[in-house]
Amino acid sequence: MKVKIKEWHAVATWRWDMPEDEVCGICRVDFDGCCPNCKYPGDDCPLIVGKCHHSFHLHCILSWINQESAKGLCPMCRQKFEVAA
Amino acid sequence: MLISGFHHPQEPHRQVKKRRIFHGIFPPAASASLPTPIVTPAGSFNENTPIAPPAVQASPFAQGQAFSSPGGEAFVTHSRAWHLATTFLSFPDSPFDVSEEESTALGVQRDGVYLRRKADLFGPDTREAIAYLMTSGVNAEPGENLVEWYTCEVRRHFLEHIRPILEEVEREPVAKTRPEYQLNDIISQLRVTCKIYYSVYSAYILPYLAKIDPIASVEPFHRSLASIIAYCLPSTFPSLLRKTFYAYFTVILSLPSSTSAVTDVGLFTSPHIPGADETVHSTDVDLELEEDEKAVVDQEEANRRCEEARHAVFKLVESLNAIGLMANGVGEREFALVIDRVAGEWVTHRFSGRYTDSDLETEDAEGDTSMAKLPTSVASAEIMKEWLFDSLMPLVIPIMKIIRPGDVDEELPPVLNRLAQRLSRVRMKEMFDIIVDFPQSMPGIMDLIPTLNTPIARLVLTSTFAYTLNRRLLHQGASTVDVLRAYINMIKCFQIIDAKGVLLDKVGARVRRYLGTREDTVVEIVKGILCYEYDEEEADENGESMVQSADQSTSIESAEVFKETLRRRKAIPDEAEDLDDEDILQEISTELQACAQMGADKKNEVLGAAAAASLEDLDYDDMEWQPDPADAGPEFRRDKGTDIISHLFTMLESTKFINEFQNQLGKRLLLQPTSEFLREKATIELLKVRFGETEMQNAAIMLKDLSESRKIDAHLRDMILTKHLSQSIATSGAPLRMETEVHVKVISRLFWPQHMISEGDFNPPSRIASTLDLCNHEFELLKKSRKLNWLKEEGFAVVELELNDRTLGFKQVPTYAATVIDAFAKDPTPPNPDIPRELNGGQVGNAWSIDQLKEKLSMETELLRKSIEFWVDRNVLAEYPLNRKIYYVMETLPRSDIPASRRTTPHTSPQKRDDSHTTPRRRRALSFISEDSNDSGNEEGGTRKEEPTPAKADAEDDDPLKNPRFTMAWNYIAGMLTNQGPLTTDRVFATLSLFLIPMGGLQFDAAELDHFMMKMEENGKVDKTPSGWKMRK
Repeated sequence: MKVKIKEWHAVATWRWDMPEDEVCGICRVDFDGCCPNCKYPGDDCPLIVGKCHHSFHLHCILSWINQESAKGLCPMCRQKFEVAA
Repeated sequence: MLISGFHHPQEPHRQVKKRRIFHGIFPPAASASLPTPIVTPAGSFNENTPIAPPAVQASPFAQGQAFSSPGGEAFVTHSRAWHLATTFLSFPDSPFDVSEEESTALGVQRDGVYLRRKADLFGPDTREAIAYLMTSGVNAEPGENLVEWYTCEVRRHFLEHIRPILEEVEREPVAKTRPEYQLNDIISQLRVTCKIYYSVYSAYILPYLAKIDPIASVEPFHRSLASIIAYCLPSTFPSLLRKTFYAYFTVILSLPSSTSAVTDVGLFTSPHIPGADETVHSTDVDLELEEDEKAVVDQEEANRRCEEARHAVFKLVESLNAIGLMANGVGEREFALVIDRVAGEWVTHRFSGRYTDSDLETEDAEGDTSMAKLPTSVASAEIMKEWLFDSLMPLVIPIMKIIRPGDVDEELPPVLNRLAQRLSRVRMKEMFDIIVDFPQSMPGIMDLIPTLNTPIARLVLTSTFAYTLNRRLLHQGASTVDVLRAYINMIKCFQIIDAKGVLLDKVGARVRRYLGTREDTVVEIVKGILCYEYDEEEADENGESMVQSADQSTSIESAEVFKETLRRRKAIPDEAEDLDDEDILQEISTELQACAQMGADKKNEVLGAAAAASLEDLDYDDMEWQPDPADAGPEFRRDKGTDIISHLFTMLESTKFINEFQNQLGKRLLLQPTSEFLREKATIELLKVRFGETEMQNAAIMLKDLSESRKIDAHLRDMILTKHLSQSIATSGAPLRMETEVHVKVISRLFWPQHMISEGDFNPPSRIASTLDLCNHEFELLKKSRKLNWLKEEGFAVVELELNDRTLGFKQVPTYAATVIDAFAKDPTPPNPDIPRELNGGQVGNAWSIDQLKEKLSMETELLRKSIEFWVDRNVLAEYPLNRKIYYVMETLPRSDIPASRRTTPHTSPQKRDDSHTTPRRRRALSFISEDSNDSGNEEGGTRKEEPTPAKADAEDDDPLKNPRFTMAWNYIAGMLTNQGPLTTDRVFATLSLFLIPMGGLQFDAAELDHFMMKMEENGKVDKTPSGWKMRK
């Protein structure tokens, strides 16, 4: 018997390759999900990693940083939040 | 002759007494029964005084002046006249001789014997007496009126002499005389009697009355006679009459029930008229006759009988009318009943189960829309009118004319209404069938509508329908799909019948409740929503490719086998169900589309309406407000969705529905080649309207994943292709086409049904695996800081198999099954030794044992079995009969001429069988299920073969526990014997078969187990006791 596999439709899940946490420190939603303001995960709701190695949904940290009281600090470690290179 | 019939003066005292009693009951007769009145002056007469024979007493009147004599003489004269007249007019003390009367009445003279004799006796004296009484009788006392006396005399005679005859007729067993004769007997008796009564009255009394007011004076007599007859009629008479009428009418109107009705009454059974049975008989015998010829003969016969029946009916009606039984009497009543029944029968016969016959259809073709708009079913109304005018009216009107001349009401509407009601009853009974084949049964519904204007009619409809529903639909035998389909049609039908939805609410609640108890309702509805045409195309293509490959095969035999397999495959329940489901399912999805289109403008309204529904009753500014219909049930809600989909959806719990929807959508998306999925997108949009956006969010994400995947897939394929090309040019100098197109779907793990995200693991074919690795790499380059996790069980492959006698194409092979079949492309190393090259006439290809496959593919047993079953179902793989763990490729299909029972002939010795089991146990190290046997090792394959078999057999004899088939079983057996005490072999076997089946089944039979237990006894593990095996302490 000869077997010819003409097409192979594989399925995969994607995940963010994040070093530490599983969930966003601000909205407590899984990184692979999306922030409360977004409808679609993935490209539409990306993650951002700070130099302090804390990562958040981009939208979450932006709205945090934009608050006066945040003073530009990471909500987890109270260090200056800067985007990791 | 008159004298003989006259009351004899010397009658015995007893009879006189009897008569007195009778007189006590009928006072007027007391004075009349004796020709001499009570008021006879001077007591010269009294009741018991013998009266001189009439012949003697003629003298006083001979001179005529006697009547003019004044004073006291007048009384005498009057009583003499009275005596004379009553003597003449009274009837004999016996019934009239019907046959004699009838036979003599046939001639030119219309009067019968009796009347002629009477006429002979009518001398001038009598005439004068009557004339005297009639003219001067006006002045006489009321009780002495001659007319009244005559009325009473008739009544007396009838009661005393005719009534017993009638009763006797009734007492005769029906079986002895045919009902028709019985009826005729009664009628002719009555006719003769009445004729005499009337004739005497009109001949001898009426002429003198004429001067006063003939009609007014006949009427009381007529009424009295009619009432006495009606009173005396036998109790069976009405039913007799009804049966006869019915038989005649069914024949005249050529209704199907005529045969039984005719035989019931016994019409047309006299020798000169061929009976109904004969007709039936002749149709049997004359089958050789030309159809046309036979039709003509039948037609003639039918016409003749119809004429006969018509004639008979008129005769019957006329004679009934003559004896006053027709107008306002029992005759008219039975006639009306029968006409009604016959009409009803005709309606049933004509319309039952035929809402779309030819003439209806032509009208449909002309104006289907107009049909739908009209409030009543024009077509059937026309047919009914036509029948009424052509068949029923020509029959009824003349009869009505006989009954009440000049008073015939030819108005149609009441009759038509009656027919329409009959029709609607028929339709109500058929409601279930109407619903089952709904779009075709539209005219049937139209028949129903016009008569559904009373609460009672509606109640009848709902209760009849509810009954049929219970009996025919809401039971275990009906599949959910059937119930759903019926429910959908029900909604459609009842919306046409009753736009307000009250009726639907009533009958639907039952179905909804029932569907709620069925687990798969949600599943089927979702299947319906997600069912699109390309599924079918796919299925067809699949079938086609298989048929084609079958054609390629050289051997006709195997082609036949193949077709048989195809048939068998169709019989596999799952697939059959799928096919069956297609239509209903489409129905739901098309309905969803249709509803959406209909309500496209109103979308917001619908949403608003749903929200405002609870507030509706509080909206005091609503000028359109109407109360609930009077017959609405307590749970009736006006604002409940009016379209089919909302009826279906409100039946379900929305969370249940949404979960199921996601499940099926997910399955569907992953089993289709990546495309735009436009239909699914549209469906989700529509569902959003119904369930709200947030509820459908996951589904939306699933679709988004797929459209993202499209882009990713395109990119990855480009990258891989270029790499592959450059590689192949580098290695072989020429661009090689990739054998397998690999497509990738990337999904968001949190938003898909979790059971789909299982990471079942196995090794896909190596060439695929390498491509997948490449994909992984490329994806990470494409999407920064994201990674892929392969869901190896999901997805599918397109596979083509080239076998020795056939080529098979499969469009949707689960990835795991594709992996397994790919493994079968090569022989395992070491090959399974004891597989013959041919089995059951089919060539045997590569054979793998489950354990070998498990080892090679590192696939879980369950998944492995599923894959193998997939191919066994498709007749690619087959189980090796002697070892259930080995499967082989059927390079050619087995010959069909070997009966199935002989196909699994164990032609190898037990030793050989042992061989396949015993050897692997030595290399159990890599096994998945430790106690189970494993063909896992392959490095020692060569040496294994050289081992002498007897030695192995001995080894097994020494230590039964080393037999892998029993190693696991022994654990169970030991446990059982310890915990439950002594057990027999049979008992042990039964229990084991319960426990071990999920673990891959028993690998020995009861005899082997017994043998094993004996060995264990030898080894000192168990003891044999009368109550069974026992653990040795």
